[in-house]
Amino acid sequence: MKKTLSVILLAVLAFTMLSCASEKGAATAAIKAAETAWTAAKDNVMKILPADGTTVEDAIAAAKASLEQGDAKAALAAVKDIPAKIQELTASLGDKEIELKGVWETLNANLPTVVATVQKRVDILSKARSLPAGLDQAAFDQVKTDMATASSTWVEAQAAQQSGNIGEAVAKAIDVKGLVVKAMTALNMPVPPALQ
Amino acid sequence: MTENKPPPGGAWDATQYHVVEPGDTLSKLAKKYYGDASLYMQIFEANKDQLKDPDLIKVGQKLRIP
Repeated sequence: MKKTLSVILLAVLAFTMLSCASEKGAATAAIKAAETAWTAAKDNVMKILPADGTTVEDAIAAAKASLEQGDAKAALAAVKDIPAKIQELTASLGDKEIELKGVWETLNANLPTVVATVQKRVDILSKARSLPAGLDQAAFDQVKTDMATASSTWVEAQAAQQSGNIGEAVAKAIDVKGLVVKAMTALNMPVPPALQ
Repeated sequence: MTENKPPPGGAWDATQYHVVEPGDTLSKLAKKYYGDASLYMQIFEANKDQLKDPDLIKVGQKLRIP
């Protein structure tokens, strides 16, 4: 009886070990497949869809971390859909690039004028001996900080566009738009319809 | 009176306008928009195409507030 029990326990142990080895192998292969797919697609994806690209990179990193900690199941779960996701992203790049270029052209044609208008108001208010009703010094200081950030972010957006990173360029331009709207609201200036 | 209608420069025009009402002066507008009446020349300079004298503004004129 004891011998039979020992044989059964050994069999269960062997099965478990084989199963674990199999899971680890599958996870390792899945991570490698994801990394291979990502290496091929990374440059193009990061130029147009940087946020999605970062999601892919995070998933691969999470899978590797799980595998290092011995959790092959979690590693496999983290990357099993990544190659398909990369394929989907790659397929959408053409349309997305056209869309982003259109957004960039609109922002690039109009945003600098809006920034200049708001900056002009900031410059005038900086000369004032007191501030208008509804604007205290702390709020005005924040506006000045936001406009300085908007200016430097706009320079970064243009640099990104010039180096072909249209996704990053548009994301930064949208950040500038947000900062300008925030400043205009604080300054009690009417926000143009296109910015609302 | 501050204008909130769509701006004449299009959907992206961020220029602020003020339609002159009885009793308005450039100094009063500078006080209202800038908190400092002495900055009235900023408004005059921005509206030189329609103002010849900072002391002469007419009811109904639509002034740019830079």
